[in-house]
Amino acid sequence: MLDFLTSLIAWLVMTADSIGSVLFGWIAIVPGWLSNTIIASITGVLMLLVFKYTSNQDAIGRVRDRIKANMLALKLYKDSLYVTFKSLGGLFAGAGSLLLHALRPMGVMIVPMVLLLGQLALWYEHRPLAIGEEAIVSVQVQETQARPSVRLIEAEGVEVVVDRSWFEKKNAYYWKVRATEPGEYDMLFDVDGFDVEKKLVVGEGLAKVNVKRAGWDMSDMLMFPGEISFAESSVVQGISIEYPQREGIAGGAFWWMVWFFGVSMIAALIFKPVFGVKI
Amino acid sequence: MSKNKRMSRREFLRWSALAGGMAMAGPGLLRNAYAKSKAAGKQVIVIGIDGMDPRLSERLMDEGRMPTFAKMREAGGYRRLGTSTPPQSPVAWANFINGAGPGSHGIFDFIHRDPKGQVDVFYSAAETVQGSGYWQVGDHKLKLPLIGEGAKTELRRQGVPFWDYLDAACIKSVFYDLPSNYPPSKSRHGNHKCLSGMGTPDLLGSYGTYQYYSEDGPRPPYDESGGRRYELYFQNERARATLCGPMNTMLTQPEHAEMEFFVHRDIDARTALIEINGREVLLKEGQWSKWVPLDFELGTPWFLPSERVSGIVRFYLQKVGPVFRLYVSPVNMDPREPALQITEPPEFAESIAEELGPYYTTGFQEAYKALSNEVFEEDEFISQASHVLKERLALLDYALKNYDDGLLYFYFSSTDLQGHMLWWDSDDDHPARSREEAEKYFEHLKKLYCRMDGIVADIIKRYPDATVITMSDHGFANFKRQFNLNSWLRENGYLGPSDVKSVMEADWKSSRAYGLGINGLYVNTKGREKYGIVEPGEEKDRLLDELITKLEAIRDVNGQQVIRKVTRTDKEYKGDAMKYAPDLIVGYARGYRASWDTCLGNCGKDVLSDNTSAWGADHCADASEVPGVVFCNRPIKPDLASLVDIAPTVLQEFGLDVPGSMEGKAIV
Repeated sequence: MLDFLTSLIAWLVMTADSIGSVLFGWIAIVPGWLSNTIIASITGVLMLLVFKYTSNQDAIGRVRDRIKANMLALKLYKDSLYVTFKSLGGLFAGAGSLLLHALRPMGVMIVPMVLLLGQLALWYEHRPLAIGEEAIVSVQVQETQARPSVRLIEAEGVEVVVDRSWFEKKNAYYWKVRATEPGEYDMLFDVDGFDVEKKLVVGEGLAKVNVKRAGWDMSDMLMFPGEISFAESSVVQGISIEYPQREGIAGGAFWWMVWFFGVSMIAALIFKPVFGVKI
Repeated sequence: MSKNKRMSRREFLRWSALAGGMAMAGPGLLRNAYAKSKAAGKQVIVIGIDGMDPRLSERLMDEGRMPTFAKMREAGGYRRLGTSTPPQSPVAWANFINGAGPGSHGIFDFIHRDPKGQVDVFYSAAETVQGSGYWQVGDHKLKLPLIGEGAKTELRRQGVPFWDYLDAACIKSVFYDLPSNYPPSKSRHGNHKCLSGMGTPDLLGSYGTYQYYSEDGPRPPYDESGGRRYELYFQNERARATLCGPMNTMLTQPEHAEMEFFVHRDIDARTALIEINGREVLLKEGQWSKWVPLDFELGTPWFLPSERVSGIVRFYLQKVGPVFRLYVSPVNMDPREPALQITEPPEFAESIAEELGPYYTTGFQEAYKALSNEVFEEDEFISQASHVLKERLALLDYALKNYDDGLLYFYFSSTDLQGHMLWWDSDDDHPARSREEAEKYFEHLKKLYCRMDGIVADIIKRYPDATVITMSDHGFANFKRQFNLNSWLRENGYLGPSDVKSVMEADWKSSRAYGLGINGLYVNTKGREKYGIVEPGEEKDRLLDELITKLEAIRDVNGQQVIRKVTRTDKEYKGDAMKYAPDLIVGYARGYRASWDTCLGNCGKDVLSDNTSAWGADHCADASEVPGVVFCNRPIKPDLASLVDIAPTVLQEFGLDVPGSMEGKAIV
């Protein structure tokens, strides 16, 4: 079951990455805050529409009416302890009911949203290596009895500052590289005679940066969806490049997501009356 | 009268009000306005090169290795610069700041003693004041809002710094790494900026404590002067270690916060991986890391969110095997989020970091303690010092890019701290190195001087209209022999009992004098010291004269004079800040200095002994032995120049009057 689920996620992530490459290529040529705002606005409106067609709008309308009635009762009969408590109970029940009505739309949206966030994180969370900047490259291997032989064969755009090191407790090989030429490259490793690749980006501005080529691990696949993950049987179970985090109000590990959700909520609230959606 | 030249009633009232206001504000405002108009666009750049020695400078100029300074000398822009008494950096730079001697600023040594506690020792330039208004919760004490005051560090330097006059006259001044100004003094009018230099502590509250991890290290950790050593034990090539961080003052019994980290090593590849604070640092043997940011968590009571203090460190992987050795720099305050105020205004530290990234914030940046304690060898020390200089040059570039007019001050510590470790009076034997070694490292120091020449040349080229003053606070001399003042006082019956080991355990009923700090000698004066026995007045005068005569008569085994001059501070110093002044300043002859024991009030076995430390040169001698230098791209008046003359010179350059509190006079 777990294997099936992992395979499914691997397929979904790969499909999302193919679509994302076509849909979001333009992010590279506009300012980050602008692309984030545009995508967040469109997503907000789409979420609103999905909510409209996947939720029970009539039932939500009835719950909202009941909430309004309870609030009115609270205001009118504030001298009556009985009515006050009854109305408060009604309000809590209404809030719970709204939450229950939101479960179905959330269930529908959760998978595409996770895949979308994964794709956007590739652009907004980290930045490419700048010329002269150093980064650690690590190759995580399977915990097998025999330690595989791993060599870095080709690393265009970077020079090796610290050559291969093996750290037993980490079960990983490490290198340190320094960026020399801007561009997108494939780092090539020889693992027990087989070639293994990892994308490397050097340069300025916005670029799609995948920190880790994931192994056979669901959470890693969702977190780092920019490259095909390694198979369960692969000796290599992850290759990471320590890219710097992007900075700025619409970038970085956290702020780009705050910006994204803030803008999408505002967009949804603005378009709510236009599409007549009850939330 | 044409319409556009006619003054409307509104304009008439506005001009009248302005004129009235100017008249009421008095001549001070007018003078400032005049000074400001005269100083508009005026550029004065002062480069402080700590410890730049005139003898070596003159030799290098004669050899043609310092062409810029030589050119200034030919144009009459060079003098030897009289230093402070005593010629210690905090005292000297405070003289520069006030344009007056120690009697005005109250800094007489690195350390002072409080006579009320007899010999309670404290740092002379800054003081941490305990707060009030706390609520005790278990092991914690919490500051109550609106009640009492929090703990704070105060600047002890007294008097008015010369930039205050510029500030009041609306003339901009900016200082980078200024010594004797931590915490930075406030700017009243907002025309002054400063990054504090020497005297700024690290995050542990010390003046630079490295941490050193090795497989043959001590267990439990061992504290030595300026450092802490740990044992590192590897299992499957991984070792667990802890890094000592800032003091958690929220605890009723304050203790240092600690951070756990892991070290992995690959002996074949001669590399190590350090896992700390969610980061990985990969190093080759002999390699330095970049600045690594760390967030230390301070424990708080359960109902409060935990507090964090940001620091930065650099790792140096000395050896992977056979015995693993790892050096961690002192934990500097992260300038992007400094735990204490290190700049005026406070946000200045962050704005520098925004452009340059993290940088050294402690006052002492070169790792001289590591060399003194034999953690480093000379080449390792030089490599670390080169990193410091590289960072300083990036800061200088930032300073010059952001400078338009007013005063720009920039400080270099490299010549001083590298001077202490690498200097050599080459007509003499080096105290701790062979002639070949001494020559090799002294050549490095000479190159450093030549580099300073190039730096000043570049500044003059970039600002051809600026008055550029380059100055040092003192010079240098070999430190071959150490004199133990307290042992001498003990042997001559001034400090008892006869087997006393430290002034902390002296018998004050029979002790008439004691030494503390590098040059200070105190008489156990009745009415001043807690257990004073010497009557002020005639008895004390007699004792002082007796001590001066005897000390100046001391000869080493080869007949050489040990002490050049002993100065009575009541006759030498002027000013109101004499509370902690020693009674005598012991000025040593070249080649001599107070012993390491003397500085902390201890008595050594011998009165005179060899200095075997890597700290082979010093300047805490008599002021006449170690003058500094002053170079200017304008001719300097032919009189003898002194440190106290620089502030009046700067004020005069901006058209301001020299205040009466200053002892110096303009030299340009």
